[in-house]
Amino acid sequence: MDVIAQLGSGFANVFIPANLLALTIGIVVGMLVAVLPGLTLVMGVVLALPFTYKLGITPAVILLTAMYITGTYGGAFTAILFKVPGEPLDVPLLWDGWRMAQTGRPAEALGWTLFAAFFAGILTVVCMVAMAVPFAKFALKFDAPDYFAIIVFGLTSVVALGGASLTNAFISLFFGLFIATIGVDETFGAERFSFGIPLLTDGVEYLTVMVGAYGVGEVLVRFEQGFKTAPLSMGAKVQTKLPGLVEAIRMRMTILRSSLIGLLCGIVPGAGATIASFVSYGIERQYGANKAKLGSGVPEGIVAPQIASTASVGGHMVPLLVLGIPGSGATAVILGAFLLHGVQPGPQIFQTQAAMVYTLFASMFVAVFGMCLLGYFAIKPLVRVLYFPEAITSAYVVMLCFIGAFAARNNLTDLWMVAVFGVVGYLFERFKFPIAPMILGCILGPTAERSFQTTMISFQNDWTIFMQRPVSGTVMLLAAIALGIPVIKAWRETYIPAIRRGRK
Amino acid sequence: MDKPSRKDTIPYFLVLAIAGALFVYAGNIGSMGSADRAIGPSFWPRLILVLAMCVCVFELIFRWFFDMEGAGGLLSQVEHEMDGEGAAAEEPEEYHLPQLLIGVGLTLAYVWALPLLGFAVASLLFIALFIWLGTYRRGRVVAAVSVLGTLLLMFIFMKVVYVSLPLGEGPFESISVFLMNLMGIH
Repeated sequence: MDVIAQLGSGFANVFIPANLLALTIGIVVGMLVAVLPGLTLVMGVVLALPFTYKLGITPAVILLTAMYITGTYGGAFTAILFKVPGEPLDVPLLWDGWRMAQTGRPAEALGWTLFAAFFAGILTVVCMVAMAVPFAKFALKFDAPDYFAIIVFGLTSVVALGGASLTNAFISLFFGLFIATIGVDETFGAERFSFGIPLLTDGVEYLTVMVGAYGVGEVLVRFEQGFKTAPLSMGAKVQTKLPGLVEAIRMRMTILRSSLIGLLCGIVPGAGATIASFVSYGIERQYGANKAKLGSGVPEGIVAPQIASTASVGGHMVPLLVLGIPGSGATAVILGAFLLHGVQPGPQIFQTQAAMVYTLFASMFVAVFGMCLLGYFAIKPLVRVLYFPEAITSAYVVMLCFIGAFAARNNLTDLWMVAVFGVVGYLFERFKFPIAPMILGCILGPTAERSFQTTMISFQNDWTIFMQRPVSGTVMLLAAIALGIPVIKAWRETYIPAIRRGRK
Repeated sequence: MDKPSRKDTIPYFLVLAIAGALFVYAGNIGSMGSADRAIGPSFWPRLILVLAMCVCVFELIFRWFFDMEGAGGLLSQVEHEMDGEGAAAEEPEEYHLPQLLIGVGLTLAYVWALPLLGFAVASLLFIALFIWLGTYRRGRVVAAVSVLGTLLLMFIFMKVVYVSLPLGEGPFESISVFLMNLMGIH
């Protein structure tokens, strides 16, 4: 009952003008960011961060979270109507959504997307509210080995699930973890890898890495290609036709599967909305009732990825709020907003910042309604941003990257870091190294090292302690399974045949 | 799976060499196993570097001796399965080194010029050049977008968000102050 009462007052707080304004801006900007192909969801949240510096903690977090949840939906329009995925997470929508639009049913495709986003949005927020408090009570018992195990699980998941090459994903992850070691070590106070350069002594802020790699790096890739975008051809009017109740009920197993996948991918640090979307489509392709027709423009191919990507948002917010562990780029930026306002998320947040947390929960409910209303009534003018010259938007993306990085600490040297990581981001894109593991390594690296060192000091360098404790042992086992499955699969299907060929 | 060329192994050799050099350098940071067997400040980075080197060696062995690339994750397997089945046909990517160098140079020049020219002048020049060199060549639009955009960003960040953006040095500082006064920023 206490949760419902707190949520009630959270809803009242959402409608305070400052919070409502932040929410509205978050929904609209989140939708615009998702629609623009050159601007990813994470990049959008990063660029919005400096605008929140002078806001209170509640409107700041409301704005960024609204952008995050809306961003999982907005890109569907361009994927379905123009065959231009606004976000990487919208790529699976091309396979059935765009195909459905091509067969003269774009309104139906958009209707299924709206239904999926609404259903998943409400479900994910309900689950988040239901899970957060019990999880926080449970997390109060967590110790350093448990935190370390959870981070290891997250990092191994991001490597195991995504990317064209496991090796490249590992290298990206180790690079991120290494970046996090630069500067003065927290436990021993030793200076590491600063090479006498003052710029490196303070360490590398993960925000500058994110801004550089995601923002400037992506712009450099497109600048090199002369901002050549494919001509837009829209086959039909921008209209949405909602599916009937019977049709929706008929899809209950797809809905159930993809909801679970989305929530699970959200809870696991590292597995984001993009991975949820792809995994859900892949599972539907293997086990769905309509699996044979998937790829030919069937609703299951739209509902599965859309539900999973939107459902992952609530899952991601739980470890962020309860453990202070961001599981994705967007939640890392939201963590940045918390820290900039002097709030450290963790198990105690429900005691220290209960009003803010419940206002955030309530705002996410309202955001789901807002994004669906916007999607239904106002998407036509929003998709017009696609016709805006990309060279102009990209110039402002770079500007906002630099302003955002500068404003965080009022430090001009951070801008050099942004530029350097912009080049690193370009090289990663160019040589097909995924950026997400690097970013997560950079964000989670200090916590991982701190937990590891604390464990080693507390337990006399007994590394088996990670396997002996119930929580850390279970999570380590899960990490081993998460990493083991693709490695064993690759070993059996790819490497062993190659070794045999080599012997012959 | 396509056979990789030997040239593709260069990044792994580079990572291996750099990780090796850093591993050696990390030995100077602190003792890895002192008398009380305590783990020192170099243990964690060295562990990361060793893992990175192992991964590189593994990849190089397969690329050199078996002519094959490492396997992908689950996401790539779904993408691979959907190739040619309604997926967006990707055009081969084009690389233009001169254009890239211009972009990188422009970005670095902006960072270098910011404390000297101040936010207003440096940003105006950067936006105009970036759009122009980014192959958008409608002069009036470029001029309007760069001037109005710079002023708008100045107004938002200096007046509303209270970020003390760099003013520049000498005459450029006067220009920044003049613009600030014009917009009522104090």
